[in-house]
Parts: sequence; structure tokens; C-alpha cells
Amino acid sequence: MTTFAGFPRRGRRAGVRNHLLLLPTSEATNRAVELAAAAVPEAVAVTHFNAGPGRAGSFHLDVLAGFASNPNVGHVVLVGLGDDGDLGPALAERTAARGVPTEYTTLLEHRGQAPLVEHVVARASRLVTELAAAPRHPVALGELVVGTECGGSDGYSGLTANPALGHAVDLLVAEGGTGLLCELTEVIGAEHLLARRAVSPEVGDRLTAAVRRWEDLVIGFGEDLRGSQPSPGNQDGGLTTVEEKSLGGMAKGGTSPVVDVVGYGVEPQTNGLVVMDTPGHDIEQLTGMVAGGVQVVVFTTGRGTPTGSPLAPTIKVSTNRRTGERLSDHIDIDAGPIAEGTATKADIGRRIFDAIVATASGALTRAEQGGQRDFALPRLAPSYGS
Amino acid sequence: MTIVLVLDERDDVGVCIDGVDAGVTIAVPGRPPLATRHAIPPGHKVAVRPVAPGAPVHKYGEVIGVATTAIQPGDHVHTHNLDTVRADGVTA
Repeated sequence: MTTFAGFPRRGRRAGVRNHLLLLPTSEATNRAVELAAAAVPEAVAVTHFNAGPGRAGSFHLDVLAGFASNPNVGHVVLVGLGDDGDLGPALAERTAARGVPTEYTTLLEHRGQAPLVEHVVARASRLVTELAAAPRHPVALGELVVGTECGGSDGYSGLTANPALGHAVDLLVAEGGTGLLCELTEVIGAEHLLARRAVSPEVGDRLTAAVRRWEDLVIGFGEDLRGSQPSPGNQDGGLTTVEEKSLGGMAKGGTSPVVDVVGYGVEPQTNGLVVMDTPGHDIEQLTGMVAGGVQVVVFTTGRGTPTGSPLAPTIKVSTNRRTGERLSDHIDIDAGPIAEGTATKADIGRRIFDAIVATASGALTRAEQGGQRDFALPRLAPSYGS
Repeated sequence: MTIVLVLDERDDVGVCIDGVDAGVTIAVPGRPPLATRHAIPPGHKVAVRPVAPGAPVHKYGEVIGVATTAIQPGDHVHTHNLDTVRADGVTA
């Protein structure tokens, strides 16, 4: 049985990194967190803007709570304004309940930004040293959740990198692990094929319903995702039908049965291949997967992208040799040899699987070496209050 | 060398990575070589098995549509002989 060397956690899955997260809990403290993070580069920090009241606000809180509870977070410092609208107390309750060592500090309590930053820098400096000293232990692959994503797709995506990643996900699921397939707008036209792979009619029905919701949302904006696919450019490239195009995107999830469908940023409770309902935007999707507990992401790309999560190491797989060579700073594995006949889908799939295990055990991805910190929260609606 | 990628053993079609002229014998990994009956543009599909009119056409081991005419090994497979079977049951 394959294991990885991770950081076992109490009450949640093991981490593959032991990050200190500095998280503003009010837009008023974004700058304070940026200043503190600049002084302690080993810490991970993201900023975001208030979402207002109602459903939009509670969604925002849910996603932040999931993000801050990601297994790769060893400790979180929440930094808020300290007023009534500060999400800090509610977030601290959520992360502490998930077993994340949590502290919360505020601008009002420190009477200004300079003393607040001084306090956060002092705490962060001490915490990153402690977190870096924690030993890794062997962990079963059953604790690993790997997110899949593709961005900047090209004519090779559905032929090389996506099927190879699918093979890696099949290997992971066979070892008891969990893979996430996202971006339901990409499934349109082939949802019946994916739903047929569901473990039960109920899971299949939820999948179909989730795809229809996206389709209706897009129709509400006056656009038709189903009828316009494949695009004339896709057809020139050799794609004939919408289901063929969607299968090329879905190939990155592999061929395992779909055991569950979860909402954006919701942690899967069942191991195996899980579908998460996310938008198509690369970084919003990435944030949703990480809020859902993904410890490692594998991202296939045709045209190339530097994208990487601040918390989950992001392995980049190019679909063709030119992108692999041209963007060698950003690409970890090139699936191009499949199209050249010098490697099979299974060969590259095994390399991706091995890279997942090595990354989970501490090997740095190109995106980590480059310091990528991509984070974006989707909005349910424009804010209508504060 | 002309590469034909067959993504799944159940597939009726392979993808010609580079374009190839009609009447050229091409190697298909794991299957007997076949002669192209039409020119195949780069990235387009070539039939590796016969498909009867109205029968499903497989790629990725799944159904990508139905044959609208008889398809012979070596045929170019595209909009002229393959049509969608959309999830909502509507044929475009």
C-alpha cells in the first residue's frame, strides 16, 4: 500500500504542508495582513472583500471557514477589525471546532494598524518556526483528496494531459484516495454519461440537476452553452459533437464510479471520485476545491499558466511539448510525449500519480517555487448591503 | 511517422495527431495497420472499425454520437457522418 509522508491532524485529514495562514476577517484588515505577511514570507496570506449580509454573506463565511480548515493549515491567525460586522468570532468558532489551532486578534484591540501588525508579525515569526519543526509521518492515501482542473485548454488537452490525469486519479481511487472533478459547465452535453457512472440513481440525479442549474443560469444571461458547442474553432480542430468535447474535459477525472456530488467548497465525506459543483473560472474553482479540503491539485494546461493555490501544492501538466518547454518554470510534467507516440497515457498517468505522492510528501511544485498565491471567491450576487 | 491515438480499447475511432493523405497506410498501436480512405486533417478522427448507419460511435470508451452513414475503417469521421445524441435526447 502506498503512503505519503504527511502531517497527521486530530479530527481532520492529514496535511501535506504545515502552513501558517494569516487571514483577514474584515476587508478593513487586508492591508495589515499584507504588511505582516511581507515581514514573514513563510506565512501564507490572502485578502478578500466583504460580501454583505444574507445568503451571500453566509456563503462567504462558509468558504472562508473551509479554506482556513484545509488540512494543509497547521495554525490560523485571524485578523479582524473587531466591530459588529467582523467575521472573526464566527470564523474562529468554526476553525477551532474543526480542530485547527486558531487565534483571533483585532485592529480595535490593538488601537491601530502599526501595533496590530507588530503583534501579528511577532506571533507569526514564532509560529512558522514551530510549524516548520513538526515531523512528517506515513499516512495512507485514503486521507488524500486531489483536485483536478484544466485551464487554457487546447486541441491536445482531451488527448494527452486530461486522459493521463484521469489515469492517475484511477490509480489514486484504487488505493482508497479521493479525486475531485469540478467545473460542471464543461460537462454539459455529456452529463448523462457521467450520471450513468454514479453509484446510485440519487447521486446521478443530483449531478444532472446541478448541471441543469448552470445551464439555466447561463441561459438567464442570454447565452446557450449547449447549442453553441462545439464551437466552429473546435470543429476545425476535429471535435464533432458536444459530448465528445465534454468527454475530453471530463477525462481528467478518470473512469471510477461517481460516489457523491458536493457543493462549492464542501468537503467530501466519501472516498472515491467526487464531483464538486464549481464555476468554470480557474481560480474560483481552485479556491472551492481547497475550501473543500483538497490537499494537492493537478492542473492540466494547453497554453500554459502559472496558477497555483496558496495552500494546496498545484502540479501543472502541459498538454504538448512546446508549452512544456516554453513555460518550463511553470510546468511540472509534460504529457506531450503521448501525442508523439513515445509514451502512453498509462506512462504519464503513473508519473502524475508518483508526483502527487512525492508532492504530498514535501516535494515543492513549480507553482510553490514561484510563490503563486492565487485565491478568488465567487459571489452569489452583487452586494446589496454591508 | 503518422500517429493515431486510440484513447480506449472500446473506441471505433482514433485521432490523427498530424494530418495524413488518403490512401496512406497508418500504424494504429495495438491494432492492425489500416489504409486511409480520405485525407484526415490534423487532430481529426479516423475510423479504426466499421460502424453501421445509426449505430453509436465510441471515443473515450463512451458514445460521442451516432453514425449517419456507413463508416469504414480508414474513413474520416466528422460532421458529415457523425451526429450528436444530446443529453436532452434532441438530435441537432
